[in-house]
Amino acid sequence: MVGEKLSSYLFILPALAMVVIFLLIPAGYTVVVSFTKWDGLGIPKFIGFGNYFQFVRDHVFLTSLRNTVIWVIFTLAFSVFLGLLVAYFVNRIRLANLFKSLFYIPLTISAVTTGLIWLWMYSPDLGVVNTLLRLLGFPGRSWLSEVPLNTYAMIWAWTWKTVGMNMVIFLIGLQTIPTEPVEACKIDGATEWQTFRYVVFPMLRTITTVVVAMSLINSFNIFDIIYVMTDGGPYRSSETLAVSMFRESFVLFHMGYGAAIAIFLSVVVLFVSWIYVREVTKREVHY
Amino acid sequence: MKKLWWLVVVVTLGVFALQFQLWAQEIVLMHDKGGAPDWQTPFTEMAKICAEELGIEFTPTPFPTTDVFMSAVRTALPTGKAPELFTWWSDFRMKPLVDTGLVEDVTALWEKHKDEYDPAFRDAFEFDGKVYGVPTKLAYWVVYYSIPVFKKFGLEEPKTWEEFIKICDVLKANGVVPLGSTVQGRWPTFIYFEDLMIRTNPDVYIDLMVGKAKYTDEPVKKVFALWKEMIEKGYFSDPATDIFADYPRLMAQGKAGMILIGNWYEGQLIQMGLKVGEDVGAFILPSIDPKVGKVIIYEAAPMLLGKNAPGKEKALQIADWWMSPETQYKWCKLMGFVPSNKKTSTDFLSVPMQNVVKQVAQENYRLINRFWEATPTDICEEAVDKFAEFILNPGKMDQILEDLQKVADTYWSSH
Repeated sequence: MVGEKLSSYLFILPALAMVVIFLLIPAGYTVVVSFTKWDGLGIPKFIGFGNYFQFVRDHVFLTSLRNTVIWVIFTLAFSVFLGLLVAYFVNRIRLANLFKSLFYIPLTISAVTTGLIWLWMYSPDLGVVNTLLRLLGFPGRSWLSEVPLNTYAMIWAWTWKTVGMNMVIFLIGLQTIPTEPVEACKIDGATEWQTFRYVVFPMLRTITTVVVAMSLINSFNIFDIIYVMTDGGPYRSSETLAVSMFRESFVLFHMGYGAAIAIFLSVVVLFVSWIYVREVTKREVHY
Repeated sequence: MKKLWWLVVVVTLGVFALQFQLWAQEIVLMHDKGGAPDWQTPFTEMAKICAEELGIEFTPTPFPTTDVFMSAVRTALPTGKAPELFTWWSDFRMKPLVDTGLVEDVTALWEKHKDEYDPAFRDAFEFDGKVYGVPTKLAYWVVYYSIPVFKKFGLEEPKTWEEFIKICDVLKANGVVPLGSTVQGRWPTFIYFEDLMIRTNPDVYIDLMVGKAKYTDEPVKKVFALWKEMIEKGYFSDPATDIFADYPRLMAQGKAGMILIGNWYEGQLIQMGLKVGEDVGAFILPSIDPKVGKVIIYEAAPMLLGKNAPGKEKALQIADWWMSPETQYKWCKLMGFVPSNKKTSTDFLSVPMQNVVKQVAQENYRLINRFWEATPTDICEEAVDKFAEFILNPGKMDQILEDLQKVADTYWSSH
């Protein structure tokens, strides 16, 4: 019995060691660094909560916070909603596999490549977006240098990439819904919208919880596509918290302040995810 | 079977030990240009030449991005695994490394080669009378222009500021973008500020860089007013234009006329199929105030030596070899750089750049370090964002100048 227990611990030891070495120790170290003023070269100077108090005085931090909220809201609005919409209609049409593939392809491209593709598409002089606008008689726009248009332009690029993922997850959910309740609705004379609103959507609740939770976490941590497309600019207007954390730590070498942003971001993500999952699971309906 | 197993273990350990020994002896050259621009291929070529000529091997190690590279170097420097050699930036960009005593003093090498280098160039690597880097790059900032576009509108290289402005007006009137400018990538926003500044008052520019003048001073305000006028007249490209990927294409298509940039931009032009000398020419921007004399922005980049590096002695030998006119010729030819060693021939440069180098030497141009390195990094990083804000909102000029001065005041009050 003791030997069995010991071998169980031995089996989880490698994974546990990885978590401790690569997650818990760096996280603890980041907490310590967040209480210091340090350029990464000299000796760190302990300043207590100084970095955290600086948040309210730093307009770049406040802009990043606002942008992060915009990313979260619009990612949920666009990426999740469109994913559901596409999945619902693709599930019912003849060329389903073709459309599934079309929407899924962008997901196979890395975020950096997605950023580069849209960077070229948004080019003010040679990009396809402005070329099309001009062909239709509209003036072109500086998609990535106009504030706040640049943030929405990047959210759209991100939606293009991620909608396929959400579609696939919703499709899995849709295909597990039994046909009887839907057919019963039709016999009772329910409209398409009523069937979706009162039968299909409630039965997708678990899947929706997963998709929304994933989108929440991903949009809070959004970094790579912004880094490639605007580098947080112009004048730090399109930074999110993750980009600010990177810039403060690894470009400006304000290690303490960067660490404080990282801690703030982690706490916010954990808190929002916990509240969301707790509230959703409270209302869970079992059929 | 058991013997065979032990044999495998012993051989494996032996291979690892040998590998560790090799790693321990390896002279490493870290750099951040493994992609575009590519310095890895020329560095590899130089490593081969070094092995042949000096009998010392070094391994160029590229990093995917500048941020990752800087973090890696700063992390490694205080340790016993500091890189023997690594590329860096001059002046205030290297000062934090010098201040913490993590880079090797190479003053003796500069003394040995003192007849071969311009003192202005040495200044960029010198702190408190000691020099801390050997040259990897010297670039002059010039105006590249489309020869077919100039021919089409009967334009010639300008000799005065008034002639230059007239060219901008002619191009603008004919639907051609006169000058390339961008806020993309952040750093290029300082280009026009520094060049307008040194052409109206170079001494104030130098004072401004070291906190002896203010952004709210009249000469700086005048430069911003001129820059604002140029923006409002539509002399510049769309601020979101990618000046590396798109602007050379616009020049090739005859839609853009000129761009003010470092001469390393020739690589970009060549990549787009343009021939420097045939399709593209180069000139030094004339001074706005003729009393200023002849001035030009230069960009100097050093290779530094890690003080704690295990192979420091060999690195010093490589550094000495690197500074010689012969090695500089080989390196600059591979890279298309202006040789920083005065005894190195420039015959490999494009004809327009050969003319620029000759002009700088013969007409005794005053060399002034570019903004990116000449002012403290903390100020520079915030300033390039403020310049971007100005480019996009020139009407906010006074507020932006006050903001810039606040940034400078904050820095200089604690340094």
